[in-house]
Amino acid sequence: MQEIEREMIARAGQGDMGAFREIYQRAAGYVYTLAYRVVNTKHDAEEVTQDVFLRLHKSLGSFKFEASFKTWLYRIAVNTALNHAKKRSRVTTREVEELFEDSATVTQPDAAQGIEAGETKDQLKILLDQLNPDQRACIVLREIEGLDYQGIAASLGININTVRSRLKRARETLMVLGKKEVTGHEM
Amino acid sequence: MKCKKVQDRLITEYVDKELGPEETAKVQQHLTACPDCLEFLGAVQKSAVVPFKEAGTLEPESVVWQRIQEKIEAEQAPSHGGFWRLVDIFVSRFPIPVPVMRAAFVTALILGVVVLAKWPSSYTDPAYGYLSEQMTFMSGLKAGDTDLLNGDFKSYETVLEGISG
Repeated sequence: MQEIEREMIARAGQGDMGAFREIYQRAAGYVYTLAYRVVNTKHDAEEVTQDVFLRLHKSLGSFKFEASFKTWLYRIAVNTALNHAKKRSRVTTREVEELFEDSATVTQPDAAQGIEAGETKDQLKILLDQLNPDQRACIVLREIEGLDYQGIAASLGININTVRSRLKRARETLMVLGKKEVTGHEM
Repeated sequence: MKCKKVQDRLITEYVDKELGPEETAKVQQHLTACPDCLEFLGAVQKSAVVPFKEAGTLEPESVVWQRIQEKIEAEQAPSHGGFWRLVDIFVSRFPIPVPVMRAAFVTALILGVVVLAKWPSSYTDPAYGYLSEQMTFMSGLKAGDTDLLNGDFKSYETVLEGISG
């Protein structure tokens, strides 16, 4: 994410729409990417991005500059995305099962080919679909945003041990999927 | 270091470069002598690390900003009708916080309405009605309206004389 100057944040906080738009232009890509990886659909990612910037607009005036703006934005973005993903995941068991069946059908042949050919875009969506929203958020912050454990913990409001265990479980799940793919490919 | 412990590190702190130099050296030493753990590390990298490395940044469509802007404008625009807009214009003239002035204005308005509702719009006392009627009658007579008279009284003066006895 591009740096955002303190003075610009202050102006936006005082209601300067020009400054707020500049913040949007610098941070929207980051927020949208993060949202997309956590909620995994374009429509939901757009909704999350919209919610994040509306929340930001409301609370910019009270930003104290004690914390880093980037960490603050990470926190708003990831928590909004997580809440959205969790709300979405409260669907009926039947819908969940259907979703899993669908992704499993698509996953098996495509996943292996995707890794081999370096086709990461759809592959990422399939991989992230295997994880629960909390694990997904940790993996996205670590692997895509490049945050360290301390940064992930601060963004999600959890402790480092929880970050570690979520990453571990997420990777174990991804490895099981990887093994299945290899087996499927060999057969 | 045992394989279980090494693999626990490999799948977390080692691939994430969160281990201290000493611990890293121990893990690397183990890897040189343990093909199983080396294979495990390869599997972690291949299934859970490498696929994410080429993920680029996505950009939202321009409609997202338009929606944000519209919502902010809708929130900032007065959501009430002409009355409240007039109130806002009135209260903005005073150096007092707008919510306080609004509350004061509405309270004053309610009090005014209540007082006016209690205030008599016409005097209903019977004596007042009689006097009012007589005054209208006498002023009519003074103006020369003799049609108002009957009986012995022929003019305003005779009526006055009759009254004074």
